[in-house]
Amino acid sequence: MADWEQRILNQVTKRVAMTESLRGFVDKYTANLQALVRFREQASEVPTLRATSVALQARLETLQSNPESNALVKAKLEEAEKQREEVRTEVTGLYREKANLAQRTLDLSQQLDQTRKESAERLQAKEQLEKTNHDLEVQLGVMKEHHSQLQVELVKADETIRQLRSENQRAITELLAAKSREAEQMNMAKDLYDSLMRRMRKETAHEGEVNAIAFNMTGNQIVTASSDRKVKVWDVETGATVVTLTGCDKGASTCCFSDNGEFVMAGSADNATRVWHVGRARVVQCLTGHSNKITAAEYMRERAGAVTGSKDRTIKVWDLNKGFCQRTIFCPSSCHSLITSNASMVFSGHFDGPDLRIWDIRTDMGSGDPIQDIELQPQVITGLTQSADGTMLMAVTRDNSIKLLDTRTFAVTRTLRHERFHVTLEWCRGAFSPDGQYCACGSMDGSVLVWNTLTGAVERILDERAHRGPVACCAWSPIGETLASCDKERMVVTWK
Amino acid sequence: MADFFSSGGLWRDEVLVSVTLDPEERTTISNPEPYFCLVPRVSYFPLVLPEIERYFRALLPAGTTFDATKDLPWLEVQGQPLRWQHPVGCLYDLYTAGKADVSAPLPLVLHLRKFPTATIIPMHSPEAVRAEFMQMVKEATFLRDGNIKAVNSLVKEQTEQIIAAMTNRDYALFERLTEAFRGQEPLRFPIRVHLPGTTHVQLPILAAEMPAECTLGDVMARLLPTLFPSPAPAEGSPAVVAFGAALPLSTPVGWLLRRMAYPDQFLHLAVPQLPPGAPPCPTRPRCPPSSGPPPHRPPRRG
Repeated sequence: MADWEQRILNQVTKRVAMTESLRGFVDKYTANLQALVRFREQASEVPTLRATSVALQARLETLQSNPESNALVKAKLEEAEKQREEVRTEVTGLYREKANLAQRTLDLSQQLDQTRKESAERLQAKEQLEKTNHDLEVQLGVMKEHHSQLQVELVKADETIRQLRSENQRAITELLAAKSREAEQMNMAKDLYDSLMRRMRKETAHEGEVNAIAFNMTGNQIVTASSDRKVKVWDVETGATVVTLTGCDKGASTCCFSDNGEFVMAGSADNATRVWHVGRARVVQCLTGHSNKITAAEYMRERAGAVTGSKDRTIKVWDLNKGFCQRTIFCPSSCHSLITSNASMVFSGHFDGPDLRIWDIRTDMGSGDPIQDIELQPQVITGLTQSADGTMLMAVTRDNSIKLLDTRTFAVTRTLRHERFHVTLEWCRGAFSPDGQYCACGSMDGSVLVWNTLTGAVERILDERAHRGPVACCAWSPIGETLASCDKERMVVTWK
Repeated sequence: MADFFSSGGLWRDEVLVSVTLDPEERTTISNPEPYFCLVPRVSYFPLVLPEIERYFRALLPAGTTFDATKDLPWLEVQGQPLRWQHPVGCLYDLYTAGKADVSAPLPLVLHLRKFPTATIIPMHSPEAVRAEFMQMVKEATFLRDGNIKAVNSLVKEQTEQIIAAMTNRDYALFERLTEAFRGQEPLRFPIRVHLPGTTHVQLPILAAEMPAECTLGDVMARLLPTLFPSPAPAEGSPAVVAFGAALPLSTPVGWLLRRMAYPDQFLHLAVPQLPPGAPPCPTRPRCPPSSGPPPHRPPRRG
């Protein structure tokens, strides 16, 4: 233990020990003091206590001296109280009687008044009744006269009624005859309408707008491409869905059948072109490489290849055997529509549209120039179609006209217009009949117009309210008897 | 005896107090007997005041009236009001002139009128004493830790338990309850030095600025450079007293704080006798400018 701690400890322990020794004395002292305090407190209370006791004693004595006189006074008081009570009840009874009497007097006088009033009223009433009686007698005379007049008129009226009834009967029979005639006419009209309706079949084909439609070579199936990302193959006769081809990540914009009808090719807004096997409903090829939505996709009939056009302003040529891109043609503007002919010619219609470009994919396209530009009016070409024999081209343009071209001379042979023909969609496309004599194209108002290609006159307007919105695309069956059209409002219609 | 301090031996100590009545209140011919009693060192005078007052009031003649607003009882020592917010032990050490003689009582005079509001704090109810005590605990904790989270996080029941442990002088329970306050090394030393007169000296001494083995001499030299020119004990340097013991200047401060602090967490040191040449109330030493915060002032108390 350190020196300092020892020193502190010594001092402190010494102090504590001494305090302990003091404790006994101080405790005793304190106890004594407290006893003293208690004594003093009690002593100080003694005089007050004594005074209180004296006062109490005095009061007790006075109380004890009183009881006799108290009893006397109490008895007297009780007697007086009893007398007072009796007098009070008597007075109350008298008051009550007085009130009754007054009430009775009042009632009697009221009765008297009423009787007087009633007799006066009766007198007045009697006088009035006498006066009224006299008036009524006068009136009775007048009425009698009037009655005889009316009797005469009644006889006349009966006669008229009889005549009118017979006329009415006649009119009713006539009306019935007219109604039966009308019903016959209605039936006839209905028969007529039904016969008309049989000529077309409407189908709500897709859940989104239908963008493209195409027949196969035999004309018994249609393929449609829709913004609902589905491509569907339909049976023309029954209108039933043959197969639904899925796989597109965005809406399908264009579609076509292969020559043998086994495959369907469709371009989509997801930048890819897919080829499905119809029988197996499977994607067999997916052509990717474009960097924007596909606007056109066509088979190269004699080369097992395909040509696709896209909004990325390129046209790509594909080898379908190997499945890769053979060539890329760079154009100054995006290609809206493509057709292929005789193995190597590609016609493309463009957004900037001053001309229709013709490419030959056999040539070296490093230069990137088309072999021919055909000058059209500066309008957007929305759709190109080729006739079955390949000699005629049809270009639908945004100036609400159709241009017919001869593919041999690359010259515009005819421009077709009509007041009901309006082009609003950028992918509107027309169709040739198999013999090339007619061409058809859908308009904004939902009608389909058929022109004669030789005369340039509108042959027919197919408008039976089949379409509810702008017609996007038309296709003519290769057999010739059916025309199919599709619109923006999910509808596909076939016409015969 | 080694565990005398750690077992709370200091808390058992009591001091003898003699109380006489203010001569102006005296009505009897002979002086009333003085009131002697033993008061625990770790207690506070307001707690024993009711007992004393009861004794002397019984001596007053019947019919003596007091003004309830001004005439509160208070104690006087050596002609000054007793600053009873300090623990009994440190007041005893200060005013019995450091006599180690236990039989020397602390002479107090009880006044029943004219409470000196400007000098001392009215602490007549046990609640006031408790509030004052917790205030001191907070002050000491702030000095030691730099914050008072440990005190503020106490719930009311814990506070009441701590105060009950102090009044019952249950040292073991008190140590257990206040363990949270004394966890780490002190940031500053919660030390108060009481001098004869009306003042006490308290400075925020940063522990980091002091020598590693800081002794009482170092602290005293810092607090009272006029009385303690050097940390080493010198001839004529006044005695520093705590719990009735004159402390050697070589005592480590850490040990003192741990073992000889009062329940309010302060180490109260008394310097009862000043050397003859020294002024009765030495001027407060200035803090060195580098020592950061200004001298800590005790918060206002209501």
